[in-house]
Parts: sequence; C-alpha cells; structure tokens
Amino acid sequence: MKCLDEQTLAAFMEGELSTNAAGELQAHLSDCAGCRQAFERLREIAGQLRRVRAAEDPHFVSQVLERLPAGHRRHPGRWLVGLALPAAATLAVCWSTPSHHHDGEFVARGSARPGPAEPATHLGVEVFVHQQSRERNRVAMRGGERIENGDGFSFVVSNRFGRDVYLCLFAIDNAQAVHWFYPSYTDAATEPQAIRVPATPAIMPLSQGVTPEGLAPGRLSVVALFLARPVRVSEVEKVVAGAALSAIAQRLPVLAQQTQIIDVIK
Amino acid sequence: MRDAFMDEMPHLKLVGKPAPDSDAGEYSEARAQADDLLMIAAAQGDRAAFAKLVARYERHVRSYCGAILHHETQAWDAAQDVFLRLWATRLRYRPKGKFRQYLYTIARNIARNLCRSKRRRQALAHFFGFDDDSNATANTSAVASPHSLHEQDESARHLRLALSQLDERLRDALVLRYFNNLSYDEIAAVIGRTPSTARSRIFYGLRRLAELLPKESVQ
Repeated sequence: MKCLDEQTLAAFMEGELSTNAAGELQAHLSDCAGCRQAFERLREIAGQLRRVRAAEDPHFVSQVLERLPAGHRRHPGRWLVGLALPAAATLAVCWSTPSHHHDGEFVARGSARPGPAEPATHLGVEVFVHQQSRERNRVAMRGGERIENGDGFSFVVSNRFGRDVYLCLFAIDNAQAVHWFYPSYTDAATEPQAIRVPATPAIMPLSQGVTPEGLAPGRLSVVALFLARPVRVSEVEKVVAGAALSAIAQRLPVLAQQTQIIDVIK
Repeated sequence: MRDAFMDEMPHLKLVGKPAPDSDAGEYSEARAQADDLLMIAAAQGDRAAFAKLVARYERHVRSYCGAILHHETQAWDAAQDVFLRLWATRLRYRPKGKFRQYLYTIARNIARNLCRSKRRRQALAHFFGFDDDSNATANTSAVASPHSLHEQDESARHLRLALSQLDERLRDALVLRYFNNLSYDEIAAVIGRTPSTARSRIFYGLRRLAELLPKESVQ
C-alpha cells in the first residue's frame, strides 16, 4: 500500500472508511512512520479542538431567565390544536388568535377571586406518528400527514388545568370505524373508561404507543377528548356514531377536544 | 390493537429524566427526543424545562459564538440573545429530533450578524481615525475568546491564534464539528450546504491548522 493522503487519514479518523479499507490503512500505519506521524498530528489537533470549551459561568442561565419576557401569552395554536369549545365562532377565534390567558408566572391584579382556568388552554396532547418507511421515523403530527397501515402513534399529554381530568384518544377512519388508543379497548366484552390524567405541571408521555390495525384508506380523524368524568367507551362510540365530531362536546362532558386529520394512503 | 412498539422509543421514558448533559459523542435519538420534549414543555410556558435546555447548551453556544466573534464578552451577549430568540420562537420549532440544528442555526445567524456590525463599526472607526472600543478588546483576545478562557497554556494560545487565521468558512465547520460535536448532516443544515461540503471544509480546516500550528504546540 502506498503512502496515504491527509484526506484519507482524516476519513479514517472520523470512522468513515469501510472495515476493509480501515484494516488496510491500519496495517500501513503500523509500517510507515511518515503516515503514522501525519495521522497522529491530525488526531491530536482534532483532540485539542474537542477539549475547547467556554469557561463555566454559574450566572448564565439565571441571566437568560431574568431576561425572558415576564408573563408571556399562551398560544394554543401550535401545540394545542383544535379546541373543543361550545360555539363554532369561538373556536374560529381561538384558532386564529392567541389566547390571553396567562400562566402561573403571571401576577393577577384587580380581583380578589381568580376566575376559573380555561380548560382549552391548559389541556393538550402532542401526537407523534412513527412511520416505518422513514429513516427518522418520529414526526409530531400537525394534520395533513400521510400514513400507512403499520405506522404507529405515541402521545404526550399536558394537564395544567389544576384538577384531574379524563382522556379518550381514538381515531375514526374513512369507513367510520373507531380505533381506540386510550383506553385500551380490544375486547368487546369489557367496558373500559376514559383514563385519568392527573393535574401536574410536567408533560406526561403515555406509557404505550399504539399501532392501529385495519385502517380504511382515506381520511383519518385522530381525536382527543378531555372529559370531566370517566365516561365509558360505549358512550363515546354512541355519540360518535350519531353526531358530527364538532357536536361531541354538546353530548359529553368535554372540557377540551383536539382533532387532527391525516390521510391513510394504504 | 395495542402493541409493544414503544420498546423502540426510549425517548418517552425521558421526561423528567433528561439525557446526561455531557455532549460527548453523536447526537443520539434519545437525546434528541429529550430535547424535543423540553421544547414542547417550553412551548407551553414551562420555564424550568427551558432552563434545562439553556444549562445543557450554554457553554457550547458561547464557544461557538466566540469562535465567530473572537471576543469573550460579545460571545456571552450573543449567546444570551441566542437563547432569548430560542424562547421567542419556541412555538415555531417542530419537534423532529433536530433541536441542535435549530439552535446552532439561530446562534450562527446572531453571531454572524453581530460580526458584520462589528466590522462595519471598525471600518467606520478606522475611516474617522479613532479606535472602536470593542475592536481594541477583540484584538487582544484574538480568536478564541470563547475557549479562552480557562485554557491559558501555550498550546491553547497557539490554537487560538491558528484558528483566528483560518478562513471563516473552514473555522465555522471545524467549530461545529469539534467544539459542538455536530454530525456532518447537522453541520450541512446549519451552514446551508451539502454534507460533502461540510466534510471537505472540516478536512481542509484540519489540514490548514496542521500547517499553522507549530508541531510542538500539539500535545
């Protein structure tokens, strides 16, 4: 093997050579002092660069936090998509403009009795689609995604409403079949209820992902219902079968609803 | 209907238990997902989650800004601005496991803009025949203010000097790779070039450093 150029040595250092090529290069390095020296030098420079860090600064984080705008406004639009409010007009306003409810860091003034929290701005689900065909297969769902049978879903829930609520998560496919994510509903003889979502400032991943089976191609509505009481799945299915999604809130004790529509392509 | 594919998704176990703060090695999927979850929480107004992100990345961002600005104080200010902008744009971030890419793109834009402003100030100061304060300070710390700072030995001084003499594009790629441990794909996304361009800039940067550094300075 003839002597190596620096580019090959750099590729070797970065672990980019095939096993065979790396083996040959390693053998050459053990025989050739010149190449070995060149390689060592590149490696030492890279090593020195890797050791470079800014000095510790214990005040940096607190300085950033102090400079954050105080009492920011909460924007439900990005993360809390599709809020179930009684009137469609209200819904339209919430989609298009940020809510003006403030989080706990905002100081309330002018009232001795705080008003009730708005559930729609304190409850939310982030849905992730896990597409088998993609190399990096986890995508936060925003609506409009295209999935295939075999793709999975996982969920992260947020409940800052101040009290425990109950959650039903399901999808309705193009053939109007209901596919349950949470609660688990695989045995028709059982009658599971909505799962409890405790009030907590932290976001909570739901423990299991779900791969729905037999989705009919076409439109798929993924629905999250936050409820005031633990309704049974049969109650939800009954309402879903007889009413449009937008009317669910009138028939069940819904605090907030998210609906996202995606496409099942096969 | 329910299955065990969650076994393949360790990220969902990471809430409240973020990955270690060490940035050694590549950006693992678990780490990327932990960052995404913190950003999701930040998007919902969770300042504690945001503070975790800042703590995790501030030294790297300061190092990176310093390599561009060649000035410690300006690097510190720039890094503050980076995290303020991250907060301001947190609702725009899409959690696809590319947090570092997003963060360093912000950092690059802010630091380069400051660098351009500084150059304009220096040019004006030179034109009118007086010294710009920031210029005077910058000249004393040459490049690598960032790194600066706790590495006062001779080899560190040589490295800073050599870095300061590198072409800006080569230095940018080198810093992202070795200070910040970004992959070629991530670097490519941050600098707006292809991964092969990123790779060749890193190689030429290393080669140029090998020429610039006295042999005995590399230990």
